[in-house]
Amino acid sequence: MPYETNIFYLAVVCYGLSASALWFRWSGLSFIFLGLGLLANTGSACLRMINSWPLLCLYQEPFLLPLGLAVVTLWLARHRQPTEAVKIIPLIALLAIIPVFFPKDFFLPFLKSHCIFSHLFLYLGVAARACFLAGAVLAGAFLWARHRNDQGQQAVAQLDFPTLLIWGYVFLSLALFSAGLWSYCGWGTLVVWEDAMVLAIAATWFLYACFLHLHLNGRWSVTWRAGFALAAGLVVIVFNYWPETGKFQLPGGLW
Amino acid sequence: MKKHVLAVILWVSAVAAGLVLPACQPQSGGSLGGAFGVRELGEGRQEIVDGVGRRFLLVPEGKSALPGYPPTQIITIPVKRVGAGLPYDIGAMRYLGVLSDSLVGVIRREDRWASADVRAGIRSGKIAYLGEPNGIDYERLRVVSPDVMLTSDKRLLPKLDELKIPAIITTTPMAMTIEERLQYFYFLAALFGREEMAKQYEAVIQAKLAEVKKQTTSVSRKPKVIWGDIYQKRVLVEPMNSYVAQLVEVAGGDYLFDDVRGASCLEITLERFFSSGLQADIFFTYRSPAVGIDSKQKLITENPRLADIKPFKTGLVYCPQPHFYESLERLDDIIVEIAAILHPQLYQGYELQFFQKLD
Amino acid sequence: MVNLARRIWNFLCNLDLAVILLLAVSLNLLVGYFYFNAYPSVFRPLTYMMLPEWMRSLALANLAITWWFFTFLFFMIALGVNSFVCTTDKIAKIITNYACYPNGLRFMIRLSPHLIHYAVLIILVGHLTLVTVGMNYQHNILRLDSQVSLPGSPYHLQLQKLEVRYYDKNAMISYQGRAIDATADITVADGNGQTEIIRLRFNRPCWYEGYALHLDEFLPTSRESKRQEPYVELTVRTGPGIKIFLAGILLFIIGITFYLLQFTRIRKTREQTI
Repeated sequence: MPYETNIFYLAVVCYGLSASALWFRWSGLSFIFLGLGLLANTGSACLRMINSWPLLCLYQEPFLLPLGLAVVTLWLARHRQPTEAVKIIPLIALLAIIPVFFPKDFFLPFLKSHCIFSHLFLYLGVAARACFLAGAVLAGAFLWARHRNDQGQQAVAQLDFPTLLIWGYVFLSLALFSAGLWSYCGWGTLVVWEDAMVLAIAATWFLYACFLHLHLNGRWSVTWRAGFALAAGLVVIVFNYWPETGKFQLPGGLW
Repeated sequence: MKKHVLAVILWVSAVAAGLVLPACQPQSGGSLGGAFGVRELGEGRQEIVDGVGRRFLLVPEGKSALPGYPPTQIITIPVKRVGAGLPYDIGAMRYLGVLSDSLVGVIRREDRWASADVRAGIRSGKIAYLGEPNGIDYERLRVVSPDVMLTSDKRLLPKLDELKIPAIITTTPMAMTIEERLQYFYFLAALFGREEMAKQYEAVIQAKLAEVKKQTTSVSRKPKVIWGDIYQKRVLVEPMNSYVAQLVEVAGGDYLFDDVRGASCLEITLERFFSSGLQADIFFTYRSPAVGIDSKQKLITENPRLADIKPFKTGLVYCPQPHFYESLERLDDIIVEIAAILHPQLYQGYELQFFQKLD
Repeated sequence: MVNLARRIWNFLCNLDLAVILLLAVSLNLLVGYFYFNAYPSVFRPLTYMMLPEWMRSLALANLAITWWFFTFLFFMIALGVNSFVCTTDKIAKIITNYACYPNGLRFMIRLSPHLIHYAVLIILVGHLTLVTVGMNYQHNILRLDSQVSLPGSPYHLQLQKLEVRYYDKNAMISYQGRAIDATADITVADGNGQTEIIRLRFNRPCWYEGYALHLDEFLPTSRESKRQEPYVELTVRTGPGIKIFLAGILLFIIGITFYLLQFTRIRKTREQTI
């Protein structure tokens, strides 16, 4: 098995330990394992990138999304409240296990991926989806806090989930521009109609554009907006993330 | 307003769900107009689209052409003289009943063709040998001067343009599905005015597909199948959108590369090949006895890693017979043969015509 | 008449309408996602065909499959008009109140969300222009031994030299010896016997006399196929679409930068409040 795969498995173990530590309410330990997982995940991602450079490995998003979410979590823990950030950790652990059993990275890179915009499209897209999913988790946390009438948590989550979604929207817009430029460089057109994912990504962009209008306009209450953000997070999982995964396989072709 | 918006969301969602359902059940048959599309333009004129999307105007003899097509993309029909390079073009022409009269030149030497009629034609001089894929004899081609050249090689286009011979690409960037194979018959039939034959062909194939499907639905276990090969450094497989993968599914098999989509002979990683190979019951290799592969041992000698996958230990390995690629017009017989390989209990006494079991 | 125009303007200048249209476009695209997956062969030609040509030859012939594309276009046009009207309305008010802003930066910050809207409109117009205006020639095969004319021009193209770079690292064994880049020198001859050599790289289009030349495919693609006759396949396009698209991106980036400045400032204030 390639080194990068083994290192990714190490990251999965760390993320799993991080989520397990939360179960015992050891937040400090949880963040330590999260940091280790992030390191291993970054190492694995860098190795993959270096090995295939200047080409781009396909279907890497499931391997990179836990990394993006871990970065967002650590940022939130550092700059906001750790109690809020830890809510994202179970999702990271779950998303990290999925590519182990449902990988789709068995295609070889193709020549037209030799373009800086293809790489930008991947990494900006991952950043966007990490923000969207983290935002969805915080929106869920807001709704839960509201249900429990926890004013403090409500106030924090209410501020943070739109922030994450706005950043996600900015990243997704830049990712779409990169995709357009890559398509133009490679095929002479702005959209390559090879994969239905182009429609799913565009649909996501319009969905979050709708959220931003609702947020800035303020006609919907925060509760409704949080519900919207949660539903939009599901759309991201179903239409953006799941098509990037393959069918069930036992790891490494060992069985 | 909130309620209004919610109502709109619910309404649109319900409508959308209703509208999406038809998309989940693709219809079969008929031209959708993509690769190998045929479109009527009136007064017998037709527009056809080749495998890479180039559009050709077919004009009946005595009629004038329409504007908007380059001269080498205007073809007078019915076509009488055809040059070809791909085995399945030959097979399709044979089915349409135009092979003996219309095939005037082929790429590849006589000994590289398995079909007796083509070999005899080359020997007798009725079919001209136009050179090899990497070395076309353009002078000979100019003398033979076919009305149309069927090819997979885009490199020929400028040279054929110079010779004013329309060149039609009959391969597609993505692997061809059963549907596209059927559509390809309509496409080719339009050149020869044999549309009825194409219709008849589609009816025969659809009936056979339905029959085999019905016959194999009763089986309790679907054998797991992989189709591809490992070469020195590369692993090539047939994706799920290829007609062979679809035939395996119709014949009651479980095609293990059903999440792989793309071109025919698609390259994947060794890990993925092994992941499926270790579960597979039946392995179809690309290599045939024509390249010296006639036993499992020979395949293993070529690539020792194959010895680890299940078909080489306890399963079955099949290779195509040399004439297989020139017999793709016999899809109805091929589907029965695949079903017989997958479910021998349903087809007792069946004798293989297109594949060979490797022991 | 003036009243009617004002009523139409007011109807279009409606944020709730924008929300509904954005949702409708999003849902419409998700419906399209299923149709695309079920009938990819109908939609794939959009990569290399101009939109009117695709509509004429494929979309109208398969309306049961492509209907969602037409509703998408309708919603997009409606959304475009709605965005234009809303944005213009707001910008007019901001410009009228220019004197109320303490400095240019504040003014730009206030203007930034509207710049983003204009940018998106420009990007959409650029995209539409690219697929509807100009020409799109596919499968122009250039060889060392034959000339190809550039359609609608006096120019003839011929491959002069092709340099291919191969993958030589050990990381991807199956990729070893396969092409990862190519540079083609192409001779352009005009009708008067003047020739010029242009250099074209894979995935890096070049512009020549209003034509955008894209190196689409080439041979040899591996060291093993090095003995085969080399060729390059070009896609040739004309039209202003890409320039409009790039202008839109530039405006979007300017707008989003100012918007994020404002957003970060407001967020900090709210954090302090909490």
